[in-house]
Amino acid sequence: MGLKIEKVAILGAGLMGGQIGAHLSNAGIPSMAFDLKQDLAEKGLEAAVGIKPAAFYNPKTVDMIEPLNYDDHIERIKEADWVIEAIAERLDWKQELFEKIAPHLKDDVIISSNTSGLSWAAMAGTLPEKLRSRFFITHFFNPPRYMRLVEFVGGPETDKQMLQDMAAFCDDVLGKGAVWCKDTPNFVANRIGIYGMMLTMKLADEMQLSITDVDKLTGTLIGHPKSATFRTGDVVGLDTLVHVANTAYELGENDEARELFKIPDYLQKLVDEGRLGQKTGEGFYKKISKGVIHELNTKTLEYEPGVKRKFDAVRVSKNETYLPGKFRALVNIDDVAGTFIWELLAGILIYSANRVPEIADDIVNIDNAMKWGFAWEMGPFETWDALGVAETIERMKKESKKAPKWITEMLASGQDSFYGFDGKQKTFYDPGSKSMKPVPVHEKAIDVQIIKKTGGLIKKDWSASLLDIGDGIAMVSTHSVLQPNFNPIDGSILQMYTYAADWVAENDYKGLVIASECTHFSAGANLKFVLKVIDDRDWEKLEGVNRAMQDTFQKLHYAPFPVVAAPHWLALGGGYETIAACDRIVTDAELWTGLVEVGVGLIPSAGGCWRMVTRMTDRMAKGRAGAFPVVQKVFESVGFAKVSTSAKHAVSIGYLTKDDQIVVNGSHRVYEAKQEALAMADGYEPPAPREDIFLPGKGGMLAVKTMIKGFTKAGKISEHDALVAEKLGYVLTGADKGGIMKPIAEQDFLDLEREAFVSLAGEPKTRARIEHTLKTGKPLRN
Amino acid sequence: MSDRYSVIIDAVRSPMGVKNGNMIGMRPDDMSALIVKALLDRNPDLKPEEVEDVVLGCAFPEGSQGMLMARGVGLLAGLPITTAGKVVNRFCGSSMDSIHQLSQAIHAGDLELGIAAGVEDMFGVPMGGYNPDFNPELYEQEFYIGMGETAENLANELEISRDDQEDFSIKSHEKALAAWSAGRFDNEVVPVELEGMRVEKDEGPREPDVEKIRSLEPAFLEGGTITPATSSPVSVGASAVLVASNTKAEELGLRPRAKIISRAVAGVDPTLMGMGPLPATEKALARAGLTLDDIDVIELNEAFAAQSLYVIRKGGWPQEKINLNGGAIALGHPLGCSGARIITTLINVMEQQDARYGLATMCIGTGQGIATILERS
Repeated sequence: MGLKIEKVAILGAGLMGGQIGAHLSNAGIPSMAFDLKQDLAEKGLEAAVGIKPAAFYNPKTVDMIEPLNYDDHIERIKEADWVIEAIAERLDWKQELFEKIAPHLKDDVIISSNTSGLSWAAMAGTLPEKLRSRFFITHFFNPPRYMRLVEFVGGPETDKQMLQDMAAFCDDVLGKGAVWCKDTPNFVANRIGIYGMMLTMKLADEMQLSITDVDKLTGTLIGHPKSATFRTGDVVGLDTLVHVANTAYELGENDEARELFKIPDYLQKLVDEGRLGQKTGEGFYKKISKGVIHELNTKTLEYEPGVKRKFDAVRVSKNETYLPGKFRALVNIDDVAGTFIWELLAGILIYSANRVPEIADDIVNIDNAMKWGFAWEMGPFETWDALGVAETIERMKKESKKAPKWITEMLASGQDSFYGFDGKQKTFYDPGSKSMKPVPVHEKAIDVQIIKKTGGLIKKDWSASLLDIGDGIAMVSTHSVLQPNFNPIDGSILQMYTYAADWVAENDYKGLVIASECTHFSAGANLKFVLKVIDDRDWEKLEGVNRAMQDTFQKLHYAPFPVVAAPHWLALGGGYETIAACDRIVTDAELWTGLVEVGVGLIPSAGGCWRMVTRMTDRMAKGRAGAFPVVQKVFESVGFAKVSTSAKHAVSIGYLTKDDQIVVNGSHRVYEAKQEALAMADGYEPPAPREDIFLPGKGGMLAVKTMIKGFTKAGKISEHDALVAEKLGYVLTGADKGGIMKPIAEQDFLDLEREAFVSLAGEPKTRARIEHTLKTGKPLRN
Repeated sequence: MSDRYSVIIDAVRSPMGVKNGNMIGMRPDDMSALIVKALLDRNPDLKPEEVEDVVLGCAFPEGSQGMLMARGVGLLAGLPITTAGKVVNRFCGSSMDSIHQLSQAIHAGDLELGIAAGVEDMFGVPMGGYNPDFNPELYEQEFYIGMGETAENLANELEISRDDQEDFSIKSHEKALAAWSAGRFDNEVVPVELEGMRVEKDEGPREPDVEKIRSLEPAFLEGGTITPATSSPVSVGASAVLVASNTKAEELGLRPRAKIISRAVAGVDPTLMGMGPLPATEKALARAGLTLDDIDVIELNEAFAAQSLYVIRKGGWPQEKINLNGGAIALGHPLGCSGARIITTLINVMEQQDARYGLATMCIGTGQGIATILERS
């Protein structure tokens, strides 16, 4: 990569500019945020620090962004290797700005615009000629830290190599995925996204579905974000929505769906009245009071309580664990919901298919745009494959829905799906060449499914597989059969860890990587199972299962080869205990981890307390002496079920150590974990049992108890909180087995964990908490 | 009483620093040394070699306050290596006890002149210390009871209303602000400049936000009466008092500002620790041959408004003579510093009021009281 980006200039420190700067700082890149006036630049950065969800991994890195103004600092723009323009969407303003900065740019500068609506051609026309080859569009999606998509739009004059280099930079350094777009209105994601929104509104109107109904049917049910259609509209802003739709209408002379982009009367009225959604307090929804939200009646434009209707399609689809199965179930149910979803999907699929090659060269870019920019679990063509292309086309024909010719051609050629597999790699159908082509993959993006298909599967079980990922490294890949999102730890997963530990040693492999192929690494133990054992009052079994978990993690910890965890997103409770037992953690920068057991009236008992005590002992070794501060520090995180909001945050809490590694592009985490295992393998010595952990013992436990008593009396915590906290204090201080004169034995400490866990499990209020959390996903304070 | 007695030559203190203030991060030993040095600078006739001992009160002498901080403070303050040093711990009464110990040594003929100081950095060293290790039997006896809870017990016994406590606290702030603006702290407080920060005034006193005060949640007991506004805030500060025998003072030509005429300590129920000033004062008065009526001004340490009001009501104390320049609710109560701090304030108030007798007294965690009676020379 002949590209060096060490400093970036952001023009416009607004909502997007500030957040792009924040994400650059997440990746360790300093930037200059320019605005018209110094205080605008400063306020923009302040806003970026305060924004929810957080734009920064660690808000302190705002120091890496320098607020500047054009009048006083314009000559400093020469320091920038990359200039990102993120000002308001006015061509004349952008033109004026480009003219102003042009004389101050370094020769080989790269300039991109974050526009969502203006074309490359229009903007490039305003640039001095020598800059045009260095100019293109990088359209980041909001919020840029979390949305993987960056739409890349170049023009005929844009330097092709530079575009490739920049895409690689966005991927490797910023963790963003480039989608190659044509210079067409709304580019790719918004083009299809706005079509989906407008079609949804039209269908809802025709089928008399309420706002609440629609959001129920167009959210997680079909693999879209929970905010679904209207809630998303409120968050984005109704004015923005209308703006995008208007662009689609005005520039869509040749768009077969053009009429759909006409704004419905009720939506236009809302915008005219300034009811723009979240930012003005009302839009499609209105918050009446805390916890009470009313929906818009699109006929009267009044707000009323939403009625939750029950739909057959929803009920039936619940029997399906995975999204493809859900899709098939949904569209084949003959009720209003089933019909609605079919009509919506059919519309999106056909519209998307008609856009190739108009808006992007291939289906892969369109699928990626929707997955990365709109957080759809599956792109349109993946969805179509799930539904079955041939049977869907059949149904479309019957209903006089017109799919593009290239699809019937594809089917006629014997190719019955958009994606395929050629024995080595994933392929896709390219209508231009009428052939299958390989889906481009980054060398660091290890695809578990490909490994499984190419002979890498060593052992498969319900919720976990053991894979050979090459170079002498094995990997346990978990995939809960119970809950494919949250990936709770079940017997199958634990058995696979044990099997893997033996297998790697017996086969003389170099190391083991642990990762999950689900949405999350793991949200923890299987609470349903715990609840059942509690109801059976089978304490012996509970103790046994707890012991098995401890033993499994101990086995990983003391394995004679390096074990590296590669977590992403949620790693809670037992999920954290899994990764903390490993020699090293190589994590996605997005890691929401913590020991959250107290929320359900339990304490971490699969070594979680022990790992935290050892980590904190190491961390505080150079600071204040003594056993109690360590316990206090651990208590502050575990006792309050603290969850990190980034991997960097997890380091500062103490869940991760300084040796653990953070990978900004999460899809590279398995590759990096493998490299780490390989690096550690040479001359690897398993960790020695800790003989340096001194705990405060009973006297310290009484100090903890006194503190807890104070909280209880002040009404800050409930009686049951106090009981759970006392048990935690009992374990962390080592109780009778602790004491500052002799180190506590690891097994003694683990025995305390189990004892406290089982005793809390027997408490009716703990049972109530578990049940409540299973039902609502939220903690119960009792 | 013999002809030999102890006198206070001079006394100074640092501003009291509170949460989010500029004194956080200053080392307690450096701060104490600065105050000791200021005391010496104010008395140029006193040669440092004359200072035999530095007796430093500190409630949690560990971490940055550990390693026999008194000796370190002496060296940092430029006292010669011949000056000894010791740390005294009687929790909140630590530095008042430092004064008592010097006074006692003078009476015993063991010493002629010394400095009693006090310091606490409640932000740097946590209340309770780094490594609390409780005795099971004492735990059962409620020996480790939280201070707020003991004050709730007192409020409960005399039915001291939340409103009364808040009015008391508001007055504490108003009096402190008035004292500052009238310059009544000018001879008492020396600025501290450390870690690139300079602090000249107490950080705690502020115009009371009555609405906010009335709206705070009880801090220690559900349905209780005590809130953060009616408790002394967590704070940092240092104070130092120059104590000498009357003969040494005369020999060196140092003019005493006050004479120590009696000292007393007393124990009370740990769960009612805030009543400690009552028995301690009773003893101190008896030893001085005085009654409360003879006392012109009083410094009663305000650990909690409820605790102060309990002492005032139970003992029938004259509120108009108490804490004329405000108290710990406004200023803060850096535990080890406070004893010498209120003695310093008392001497200034006595001078401002042209008083003859003054009383300084405070309650002490674990259930004690300590009292000192001064007479202006």
